Amino acid sequence: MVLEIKARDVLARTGSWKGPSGPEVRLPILLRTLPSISRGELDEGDEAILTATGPGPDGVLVVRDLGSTLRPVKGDGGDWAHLVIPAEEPLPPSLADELDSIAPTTVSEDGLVEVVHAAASRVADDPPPPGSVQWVVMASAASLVGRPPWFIDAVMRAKERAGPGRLLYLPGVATPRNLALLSYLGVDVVDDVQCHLEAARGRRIRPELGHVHRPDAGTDGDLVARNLSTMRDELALVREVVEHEALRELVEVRVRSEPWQVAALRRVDRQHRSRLLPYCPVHRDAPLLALSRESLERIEVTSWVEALLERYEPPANTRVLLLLPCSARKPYGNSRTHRRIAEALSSVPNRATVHEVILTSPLGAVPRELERTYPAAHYDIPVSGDWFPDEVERMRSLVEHIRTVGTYDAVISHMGPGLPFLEEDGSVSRSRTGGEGALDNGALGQLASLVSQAASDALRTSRWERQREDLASLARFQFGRDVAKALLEGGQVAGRPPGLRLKGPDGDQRAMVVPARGRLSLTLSGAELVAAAGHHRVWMDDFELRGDLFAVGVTDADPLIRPEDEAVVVRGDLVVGVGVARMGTTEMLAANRGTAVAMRHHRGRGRGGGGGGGGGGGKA
Amino acid sequence: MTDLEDWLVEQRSRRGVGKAKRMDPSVPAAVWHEEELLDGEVVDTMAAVVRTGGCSHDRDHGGCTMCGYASETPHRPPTVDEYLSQVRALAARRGDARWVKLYTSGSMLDPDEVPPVVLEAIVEAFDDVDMLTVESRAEHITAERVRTLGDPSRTEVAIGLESACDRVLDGSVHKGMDLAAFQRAAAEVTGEGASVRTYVLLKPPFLTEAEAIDDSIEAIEAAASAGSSVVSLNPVNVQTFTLVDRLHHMREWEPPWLWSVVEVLRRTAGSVPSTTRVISAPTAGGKVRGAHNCGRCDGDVVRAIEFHRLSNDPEELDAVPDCGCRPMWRSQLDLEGLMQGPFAPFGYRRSSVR
Repeated sequence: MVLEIKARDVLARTGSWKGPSGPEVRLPILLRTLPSISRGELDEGDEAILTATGPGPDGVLVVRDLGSTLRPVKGDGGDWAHLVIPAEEPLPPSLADELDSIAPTTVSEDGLVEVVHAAASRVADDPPPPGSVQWVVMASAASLVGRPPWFIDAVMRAKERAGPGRLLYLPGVATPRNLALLSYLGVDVVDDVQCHLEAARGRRIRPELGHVHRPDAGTDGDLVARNLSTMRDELALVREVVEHEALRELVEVRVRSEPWQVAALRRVDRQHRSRLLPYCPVHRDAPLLALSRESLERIEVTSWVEALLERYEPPANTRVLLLLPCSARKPYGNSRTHRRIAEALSSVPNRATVHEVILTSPLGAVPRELERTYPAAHYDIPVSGDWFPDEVERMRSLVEHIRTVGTYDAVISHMGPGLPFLEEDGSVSRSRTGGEGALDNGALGQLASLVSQAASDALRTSRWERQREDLASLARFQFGRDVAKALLEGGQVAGRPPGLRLKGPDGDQRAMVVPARGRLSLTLSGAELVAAAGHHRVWMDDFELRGDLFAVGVTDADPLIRPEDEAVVVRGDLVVGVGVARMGTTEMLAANRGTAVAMRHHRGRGRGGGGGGGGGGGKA
Repeated sequence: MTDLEDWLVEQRSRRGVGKAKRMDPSVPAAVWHEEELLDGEVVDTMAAVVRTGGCSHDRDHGGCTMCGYASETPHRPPTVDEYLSQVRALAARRGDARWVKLYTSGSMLDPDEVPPVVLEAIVEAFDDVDMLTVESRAEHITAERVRTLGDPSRTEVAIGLESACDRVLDGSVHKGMDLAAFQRAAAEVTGEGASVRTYVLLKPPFLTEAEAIDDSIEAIEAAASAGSSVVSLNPVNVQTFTLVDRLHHMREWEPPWLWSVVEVLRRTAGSVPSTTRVISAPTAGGKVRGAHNCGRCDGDVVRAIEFHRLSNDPEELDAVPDCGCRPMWRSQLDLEGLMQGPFAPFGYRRSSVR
C-alpha cells in the first residue's frame, strides 16, 4: 500500500494512492458510481468506481459497497472488488449520541476499510482504527450537509480518525460547489452521486452559485454529462490550487455559492483551529489573498495573531513606538511609501530606539523586524480606505498588547483616519492631520519632527545593539521565548540586514536570517542549543543518515513542529543534523513515505553546503 | 448503554399524558366508512379503532418505531361497561356496512388488552356481517381464540408482519416478533378455516428506498406463502410521538415515494399467486407526512392505487401517467444505497426544475 503525497495545503493533499490490489489512483479520488452508469460508460480519465453489484470494468479501482447490516448486499464472493466498504449498522446522526449501544465503527473483513458514524461524539474517545485500515468512510455524511456545525464537527472527528496516513471518504456529498471546501477539510475521496441526483431533478450544477441551476438552453438531455464535466473541471482546479498552495483562496470563493458552506467554513475556523494548526505551514512562497471576512479567521492569519499575543516581545531598549500604514508592495520596506518614510526619518537621532510597527488587515500588526516572514510579506488586501470594525479591533488589541509588553516612552501614529483607538488616545501623538496623505510633505515633516524629539529624549541605543535585539525578537517569534534565550545566550550579530547572522562567542555561526523567508535557519551548533532547550527535535531510527530524513525513519518528534519549521534531527542523545520539516509532527509520526526533514547540515559532513543528500560527500 | 428498546421505552414516558386523560374510554377512538372488495364486489365497510387498555408490546417494550396508535391509549383501561358502550356506539354507526373491521391500539385477541367478555359482545353485535376483521399481534393468536370469533368463513384476522427480514423486524421496526412467530399465528388462523389479512410496511426507518422496496416484496411473498388472502402494503407515514416522527423532523428519514408503492404492487402482481390479493391504501398518500411524489402527480397516482385496490386489476397501475419526478425516484434507488446511510435531502422530491 502506497500513499504518495505530492503537495499539501494544510489538510488538503494531492498525490496518489495504491492499495494491495488495483491500479494507482490520483488524489483526490473521484468515484464514479455504478449502476447509474453501465460498464461501457466510463469516461476518459475515470480512475475509480463505486458499485454494489459489480463486477467493475478493468483498469480502474473498483470499490464495492455492502450496504447496511439491516439488509446487507447479497451475492458472490466479490473478488472483483479491490476495496470493500463493510455493511454498517444504521445510526442516524440525530440519534448517534443517544443510541450508544451501537458501535460507531465497522471494519471490513480484510481490514482495509472502516466505516465511522462520526456524528457520535464517542468516536473521539474510541481507540484508533487498526493499522491495516487504509480508508475511513464517513457514514450519513449526506444527511449532515445543511447542518453546518454538526457536519463540520463530524467531518473533523472522521478526519482525526483517518489522520494523515489514511484516506477519508465522504460519500454522497460532493458537488463542484463544495469540492474545494471538502478538500480543505482533508477529504481525499468523493463520488459523483450528487451529479446524478441534481441532473435527475433537472438541475445543472454550477460551481459559482447554488440557486441558479436552470440547464443551458437545448442541453436538457445531457445534464448528467454536463454536471460530471463540471465536476472534473473543478477536481482538476482543486488539484492545481493545492499544488500552488492557494486552496484557501478558492475555498473562500466557492463557499459563497451556498449559505451552509460559509457557515461550515466559519465553524472550522473558529472551533477546529487546533486540528488545522499542526498541518499549517509556517512559511509559504505563495501569496495570501485576504479578500473576504473569512480571511480574517483563516488559520495562517489567526496563528500570526496568536503568536504575537502569546510570545511577542518588542526588541529590548526600544522607547519610541511608531505606527505606520501598510503598503501594497511586500515586504513593506521595499515599497515607495516606506522608502519615503525611511528617508524622512534618516536624520532622526538615536534612530535605533524607534520601533516601527505596521498596522494592517488581516494581520492586525506587523513589527518591522518580522516583515519578511510569512504571511506578512505575502498577503494582499483590497484597499478601500476604510476598515471593518473587526479589523480595527484586531489592530487595537495588538497595539495594546505590544505597548503592554514593550517599554515605550512615546507612541507616534502616522496612520490615516478611521482608527478611533488611536485618535481618542491622548498618549498617542499624531503626525497626520485630517485629509493628509502619508507621503504629504507636511505629514512627513511632522513625522520626522515628532520622532526626532521623542528619540532624542530617550536613552541612547546603538544600531549594533538594536540589530541583536531585532534578531532576538525574530527568534522569540519563531521558536518561543525559552529557545530564543538559549540561542542568543552569549551570541553576537554579524552581517547586514536582512541577512543577519548569529554567532557564538567563539565565532561559530549558530543561525542566519534567510532573507527570502525572513526566518532564522539553524547551523549544527544552533541546532544543539535548540535541542538542549527541548524543542524542535525529531528523533530518528538507528541508521546512518545521508541526505534527507524520510518519515519512515522518524521514531518520535517534539509536539507541534509545523511544516517548514526548523527541525533538529536527533539519534539517541546525539544531534545528527538540522533541516526544514516538510511535514508536521503528526504526519511525520503517522506517515511511512515522504520527506520528513529536508536536511541542511549533517554532523561530520563539514559545512553541508545546501542540499546535503546526493553530492560527493558520501565517501567519508 | 442505551439501545433501541431503551430509547423507545424512554420516549414512551414522554408521550402526551394530558391527551390520554382527555380521552373518553367509553367512545371509540375513530370510526369511518370505506369501500372494500368482497368476493369481486365493492361493498360498504365500517372500520373503527376501539379504545383499549393499550398494546402489550408498547407497554412492555416501548412499541414499534412507526406506530402512533399507542398515543390513542387512554390513561386507564376502559371498564367492561365502557367497552360495551363503545360496542353499542359501533353498532349504531354500522349503517349498511357488510364488512366490519375492528382495530385497537394493539391486539383484539390479547385477553389482557380486550377482556374476553367484550370480544364476545363484539362478535354477537356483528354476527350478521359478511366479514368481520379483527386485528392482533401474532403472539396473542391461538386456534382457541380464533374459534371465539364465530363462523370462520366470515372471519378475518389481521396480523402485522411488517417485514419478513428478522433483522429489519428487530433493528428497524422493533416489532418484538420474528417471521416464524407470524407463520405460526397464520397457520393457527388458516387451520381454523378463517382468513388471514397481513400488513406489510414500506420503508420503516433506517432503510433506503431501494432496500425498502425489496424488503416489502420479500414480506408480501412470505405473507402469501403463509396463506394470507389479503396483503395490505402500508407505506410508513409520520405519526406523532414515534421514532419515525423524530427522524422525519430531523430530516433523516422521508416517507416512501408513491412510485415505490406502485413498484411493489406491480412486481408482486407477478410473483404472488392469485389466491392472495395485494393492495395498498396509503395513509396520508400524497401528503408530506405520507407516501408522496413531487406534488404534481400525487393525485393521479393515489387514485390509481385506490382503483387497483378495489378492482384487483394490475392494469390500473399501468395507467399511471408518467411524470418528470420518476427519474428522480429512479436515481434515488440507484444511488442512495451507495451513500452509507439513508438520506432525506430537504426538498429533493418536491423541488425539481421540471
